[in-house]
Amino acid sequence: MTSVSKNQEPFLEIISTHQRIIHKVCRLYAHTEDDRADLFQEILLQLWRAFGSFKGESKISTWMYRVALNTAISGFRKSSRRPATTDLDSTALIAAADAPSSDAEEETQLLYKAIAMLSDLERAIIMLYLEEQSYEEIGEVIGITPNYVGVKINRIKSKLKDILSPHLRETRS
Amino acid sequence: MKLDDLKTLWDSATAPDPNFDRDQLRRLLQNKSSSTIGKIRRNIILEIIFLAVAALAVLAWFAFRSLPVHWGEWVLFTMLFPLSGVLYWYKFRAFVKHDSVSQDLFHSLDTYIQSFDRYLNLYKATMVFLIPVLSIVGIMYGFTLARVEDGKDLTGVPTGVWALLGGVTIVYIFLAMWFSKWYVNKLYGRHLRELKSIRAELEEGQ
Repeated sequence: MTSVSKNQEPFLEIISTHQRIIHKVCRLYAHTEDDRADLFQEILLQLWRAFGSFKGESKISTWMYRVALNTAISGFRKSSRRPATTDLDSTALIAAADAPSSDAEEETQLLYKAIAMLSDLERAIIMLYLEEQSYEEIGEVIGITPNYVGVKINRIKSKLKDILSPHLRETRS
Repeated sequence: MKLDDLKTLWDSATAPDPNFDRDQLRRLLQNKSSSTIGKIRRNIILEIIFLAVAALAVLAWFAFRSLPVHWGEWVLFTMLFPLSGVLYWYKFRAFVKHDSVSQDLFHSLDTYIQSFDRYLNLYKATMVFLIPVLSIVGIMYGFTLARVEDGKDLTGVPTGVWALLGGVTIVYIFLAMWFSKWYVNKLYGRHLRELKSIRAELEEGQ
C-alpha cells in the first residue's frame, strides 16, 4: 500500500462521517445540480490537499467548515451560483410559498430561499449559527471576534425576519 | 418570528443529501480541480509549454534555412521567447504560495486576493511591456524586409510614410492594451471586487 492510499483511508473515513457539512455548504452556495456536484468535488479535493497539514489543533468539523467555505466563497467562480438578491420580496419566494407541498417542506424551502438572498458572508455566518456552532467557533472559521459574530447574527436574523415573516404567516394560516 | 423558529426550520430540512460511499469519494478524488486558481495554473503551464515548443521550432527554422538570420529576427526572438518565458514563470509563481484554504475566511481571502492582484499586475505589466515593444519591432522589421525585397533601404523613406507607420503603430498599441485590460477585467474583475468587499466587511470585525 502506498503512502497516499494509507493517508487516504483515514481521510475517507472522516469525509464519510462528516460529508453532511460539505452538502450543506454546496446547497447554500450552488444553485443547480451541476454546480452542486462541481462544488462538492472541489471542496473534497481541497480538503484532501489540506489534510496532510491538518494537525488536529481545531475540531475536525471546524477545519472542514473552513476549507468548505473558503472554497465555496473564494475559489469557486460560477456565474449561475447565486440568484438575484436585489428584491427581498422576489418571485422565488412567492413561488416557493405557492408550491404544493407540506407546511414543513414549504417553510424549509422558504428558509433556503431567504438565506440565498443574503450575501456570501452572511450565508456562511447564519449557516454556522444554525448548525449550532458557538460564537467562538464561528469566529474561528470566519476570522472575526465572537462579539462581532453576535452583532452580525443579530443583523442577519433581523434581515431574515423581514424576508420570512409575511410568508410564514401565509403558509401557517 | 422568534430566533428558535429558524433553528427548528433548519433542523427540519427534509430534502435528503446524497450519501457518497468510499468508492465514490475515491473516484471523485481522482478528478481535476475546477477552482479558478487551478484553471489559471493549468493555463500558464500550457502557455509555457507552447512557448517552449514554438521557440524550438523557430530556432530550428533559423538553423536550417539558407538565408542568414536578420538582426530584427534575433531581437523579436529574444523579446518573444526568453523574456516572455520569465514573465510566465513569475505569473505562475504568483500562485505557488497560495495554500491558505485551511486558514480562517478572512486570512484565506486576504492571501487569495493578494495572489490574484499580483497575478493581474504581472499580466497587465506583460501587456504594457510586450505589446509596445513587439509592435514596434515587428512593424519595423516587416517594413524593412519589404523595402529590402524591393532593393531599397530605409534612407529614402518619405516623412509621410514614417508618420503613417508611427500612427498605425500607436493606434495598434492602444487598441491592444485596451483590449487586454478589458479582457482581464471581464474575466476576473467582478469576482475580485466581490471578494474585496467581503474582506472589507470582515476587517470591521478584527
